[in-house]
Amino acid sequence: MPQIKKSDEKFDVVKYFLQLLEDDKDMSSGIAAIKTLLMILEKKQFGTIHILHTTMREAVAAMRKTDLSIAAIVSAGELFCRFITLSLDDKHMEECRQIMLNRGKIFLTKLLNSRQVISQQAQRFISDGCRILTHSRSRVVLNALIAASKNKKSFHVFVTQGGVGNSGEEMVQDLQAAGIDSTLILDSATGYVMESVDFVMVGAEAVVESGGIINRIGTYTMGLCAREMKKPFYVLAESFKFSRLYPLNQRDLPNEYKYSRKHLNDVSKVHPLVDYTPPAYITLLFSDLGILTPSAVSDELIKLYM
Amino acid sequence: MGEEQSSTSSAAPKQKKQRQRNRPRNKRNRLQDNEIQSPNESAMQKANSNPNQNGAADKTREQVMAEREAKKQAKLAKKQKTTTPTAVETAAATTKPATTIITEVEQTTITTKLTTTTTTTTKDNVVAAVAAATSTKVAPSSEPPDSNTGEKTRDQIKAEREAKKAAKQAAKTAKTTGNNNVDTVTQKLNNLEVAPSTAAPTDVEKKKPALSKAERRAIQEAQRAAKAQGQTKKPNAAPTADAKATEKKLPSVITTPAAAVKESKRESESPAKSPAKLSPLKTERECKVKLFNHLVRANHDASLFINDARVHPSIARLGVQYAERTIVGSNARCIAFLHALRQVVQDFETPAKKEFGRSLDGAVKYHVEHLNKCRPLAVSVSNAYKQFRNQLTQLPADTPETELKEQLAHFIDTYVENQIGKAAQAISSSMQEKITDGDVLLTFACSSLIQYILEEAKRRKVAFRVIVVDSRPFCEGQEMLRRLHAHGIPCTYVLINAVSYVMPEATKVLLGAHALLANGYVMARAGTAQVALMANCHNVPVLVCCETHKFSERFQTDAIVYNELCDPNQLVMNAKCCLNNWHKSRLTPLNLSYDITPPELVSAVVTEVAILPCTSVPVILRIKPEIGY
Amino acid sequence: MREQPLKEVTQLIHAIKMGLVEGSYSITNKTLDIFKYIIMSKSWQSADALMQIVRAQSRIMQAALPQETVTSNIARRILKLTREEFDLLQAKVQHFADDSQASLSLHKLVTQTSENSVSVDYSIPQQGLREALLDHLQEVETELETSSENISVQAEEHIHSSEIILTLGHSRSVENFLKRAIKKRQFLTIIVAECAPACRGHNLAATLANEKNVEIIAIPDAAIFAMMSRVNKVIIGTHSVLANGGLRAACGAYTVALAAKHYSVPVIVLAPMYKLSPLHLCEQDAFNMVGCAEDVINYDSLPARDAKVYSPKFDYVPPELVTLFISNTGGHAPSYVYRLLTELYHPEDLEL
Repeated sequence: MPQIKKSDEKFDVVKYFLQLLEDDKDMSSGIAAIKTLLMILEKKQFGTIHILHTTMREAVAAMRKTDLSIAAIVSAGELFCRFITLSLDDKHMEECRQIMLNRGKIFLTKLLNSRQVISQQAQRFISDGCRILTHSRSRVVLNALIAASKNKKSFHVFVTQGGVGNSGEEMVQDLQAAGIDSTLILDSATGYVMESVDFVMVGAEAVVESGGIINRIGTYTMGLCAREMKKPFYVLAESFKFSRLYPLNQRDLPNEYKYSRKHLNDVSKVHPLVDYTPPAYITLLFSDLGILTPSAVSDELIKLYM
Repeated sequence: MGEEQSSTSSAAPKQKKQRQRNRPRNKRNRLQDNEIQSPNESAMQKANSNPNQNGAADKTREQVMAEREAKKQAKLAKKQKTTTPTAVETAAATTKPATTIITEVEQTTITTKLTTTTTTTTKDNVVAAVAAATSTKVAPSSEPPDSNTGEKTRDQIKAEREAKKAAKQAAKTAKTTGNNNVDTVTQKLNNLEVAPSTAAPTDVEKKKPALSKAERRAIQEAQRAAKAQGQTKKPNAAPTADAKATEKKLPSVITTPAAAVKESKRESESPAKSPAKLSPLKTERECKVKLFNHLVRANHDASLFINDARVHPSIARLGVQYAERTIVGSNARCIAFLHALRQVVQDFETPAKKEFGRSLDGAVKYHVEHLNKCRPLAVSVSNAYKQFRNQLTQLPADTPETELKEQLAHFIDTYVENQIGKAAQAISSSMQEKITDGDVLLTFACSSLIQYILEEAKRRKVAFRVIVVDSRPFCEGQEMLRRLHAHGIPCTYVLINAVSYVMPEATKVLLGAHALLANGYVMARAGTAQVALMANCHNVPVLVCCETHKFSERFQTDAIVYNELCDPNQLVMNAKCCLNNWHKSRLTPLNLSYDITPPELVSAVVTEVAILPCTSVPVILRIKPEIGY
Repeated sequence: MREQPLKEVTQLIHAIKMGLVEGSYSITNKTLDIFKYIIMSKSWQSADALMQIVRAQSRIMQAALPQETVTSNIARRILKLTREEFDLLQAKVQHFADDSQASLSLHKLVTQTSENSVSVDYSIPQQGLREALLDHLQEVETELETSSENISVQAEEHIHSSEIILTLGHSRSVENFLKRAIKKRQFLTIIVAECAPACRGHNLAATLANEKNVEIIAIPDAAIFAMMSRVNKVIIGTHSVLANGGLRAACGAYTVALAAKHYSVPVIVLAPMYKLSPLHLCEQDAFNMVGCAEDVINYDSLPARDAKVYSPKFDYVPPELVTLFISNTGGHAPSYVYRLLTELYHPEDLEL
């Protein structure tokens, strides 16, 4: 955790948040957001609950303004706010804060552990000699694949480039570093490769209420192809990515999810960064809450927010 | 006919039905009476209006009972007969007791039935019946209605009372008596013309159906229609053993049907009767399943195609082979048909003052209809027939007959060679490009074309293996397995419900077809559609191999409108199977021959013209107008 | 240390392997009897000890009979019961705040107060646990006994008159269901696919043919697709229901379901609750079982000598091909199976 000067009363949310991500490349922006919020809770004094809430909201808004894709930040922020609400009792403010901090720590450790839980669950599905297609770079998927490789399973992974940037290349490098056979393919080769793979395994930026996912652009195409070829489509996502959003189609997805901050003013000529994959294309969701069918996502969200 | 038969086997509502059914018959009889015995008519009407009709009704009831009794005995007799079938044809001495029982029982059933109708019979019949039964106790039962109704209706009532008692006894004693009965019948048989068959030799087993026929002719015509099945069945039960013996010979003949044509006619005739031995179980020709009421099962009734002089022996035998399914597969059926047809053409003699082409056309048409009765024609056969007819119409008029025959024979030979032989080669050669090392080819049931392709691939030393999917009840896949195994092709064998188990391994699915319909649907052995469906689900390409001579102009969207029903008894597995007594319950086994595969499940159709999508079938039909019109 | 199987367990395993005990219902019943016996007669001091015995024995059965998932299911049921009864008794004694949400959820993730709140100490000896358990087991037994009847009473809700129904093979639940339907509705036509090579469909067809006012058609498996175009409903039984709502059903069920999908015919699956297993289709080897190939082709026939012959017993039917599950508690959508499972079993018992 980056050191924050105690004297610095003016705690810069965004800076801290970016610092967190900078320091640990493997950290999910959602986790970073929650850490940041916890830090705020720890650092600052709140007179009333109302102030607490507004501070939190402001912090989330500030983080949303960063250049990162916001899906995970939003869902994590919402989850944290809910966490605060549920933790509040009639007790004294300071007492509440202590409880919250305590619970927050447990909460965070659970979340940090979630990748391990997920990769554990995915192990049984990665059989020896299978061929896997994945989209771009996902830390959860990488984690699961490395764990499978450590379990002495040999398999081949096809990785798509994943649009702009070199995330797919990174993924391949990471996989090869772990001694896993992998091939980098063009995004447009998804349909071609689909015929020969056993299943698709992707990560997600957010899991929405319908049970569908929001993920880097190209995931929807992959889902469509997988459905056409009758290949299982597995999604690996931590539970803090579950978000209360119900997109109907691609157009219905809020612009701030689809485009980076700087393009929001005029989106007519820019390419979207994420797309929405409806639940019908998803076979199973692996989360730290267990192996879920897409229909179970809504169940979880109902339980939390109702 | 079938209805009549089933009612005799189910005893319960018989009485009522019988009377109902007799009504129209009475009318017909009356008409006859008008012609022959007009004085009797008025008397008979009196009898009908007689207040003592109750008694008559009673009596008929009684006689129905007697009739039942007689039928039971007929069945018994039949059983006894089947135990000594070989004796029937070998020694005349042993034949006699057997035949006497049958003919005698027939006689009693017929006479009792006569009385139930309470009509006057034709003079001819009265003589026959009385002459046959004077020394037996059957006499009183037959006499009153026959002869006495004429004048003394009141006396008749008294006689009837006696007859009630007598009728029962008659039926019981009938078994022991009646030797002279048979004598009279056989005598009459000599007088009458034995069926119009000129070609049929008169050996013992041939005579029997003829005997029953002659007998029937002697008796009332109206009854003959109703009784025909019941009677032919009984005597036909006898030659089963012989028929079986010849049957066993048949399979060896399949591939070269033409070669065996010159064998004795007896052989071609006797198996014709063998389907009759199956008929007791398949009495109803119509399917019990409502959905399939419109489909009539191929007729296995012997009376249809024996003794038909107009049918050429080669066609007659082919018909039996079709019906018995010794020749299966549309290619084999087509080749066999063309060979038989060639024989027909060769042996054809133009009747005096008739044109060769026209009269041959008529004869061939008759033969094709005969085959159709044995088993609905395959699309390949009807296409070949259409081609042949087309050829017939184009025959020059002024050429000598022998030359014309030669021309036709040549046409048939080239048809077989081009449409079947060369087409298979062409398909095979284009398929070879699709079969590569490491391929796992899945095929369903048995197809000669697929077999040819696979053998060719094996000759090319391609390393591939085959999964043969099979289905009950035909289990044709076992034959495929045997043939492929003979060529050293590694095989896997599963039943059709396990197709999902092996489909992930398969790289291609090769299917044969019965016909390709004009809307792109593939008509093939039942189960093909399921295999294609499963292949589609696993993204395995489905290739249907089909020569263009099997293309049909028909449009069809489901497998129910037009299909062929096979013997439902084939579904019964063994003696312990629960389906054994299906015809006694509400249960109907259904044995469909074909199903149709929608074009979206088929990746490509491989024809000798090209590898095509299913949707191009109408295009082929258009550019090759000689097929399928 | 390897656990030793109880004598009763070995006997049951043997009986099942020899085919003396057949059908999920009787296997479930017999397994339940064994666990009842364990609860009654074994000297266990605490809930924890009992759970260990149950786990050990069911693991043995699972290893011996990997395809019979019902044994594990019933073991999971008993483990859950033990937990519940223990918690209940504990609550009575200590006025312990009952944490009703046993399973992991987002809600819990957010609200849990301490690291170890999930685990309850089951090793404390508890008075009256045995009696409470036996009481509760009685309920489970009755549920088991009435399950088939409870399914069949729902027949009227799903079948109208003059319907054409297709089924496959012979399932006890389906038989009762259809019998009930035949009594209540007129002019039904029931098409039974025989399910070769065992052809158990013949038995069902023969049994149903004893009923009045019904038309039974027995068809070979090859005619399923041809007949499907006229079928209104497909009603099948299943061997077990998997966690995603998929089926492990008799071989041929996949074909039936696919054909039904092709013609948009609803597929209704009758599955009593004890057939719900929290398993996913991932271990392919344990999933299927290959039967005796002699039924498929005679060993002494010529082609059989060199051919590989398979006679698999089961088919996996993916959940999207199933329209509705009917269990003894009512109808369920395939997507709701996950929920039933969380209610039925404790999340910690998913892995025995």
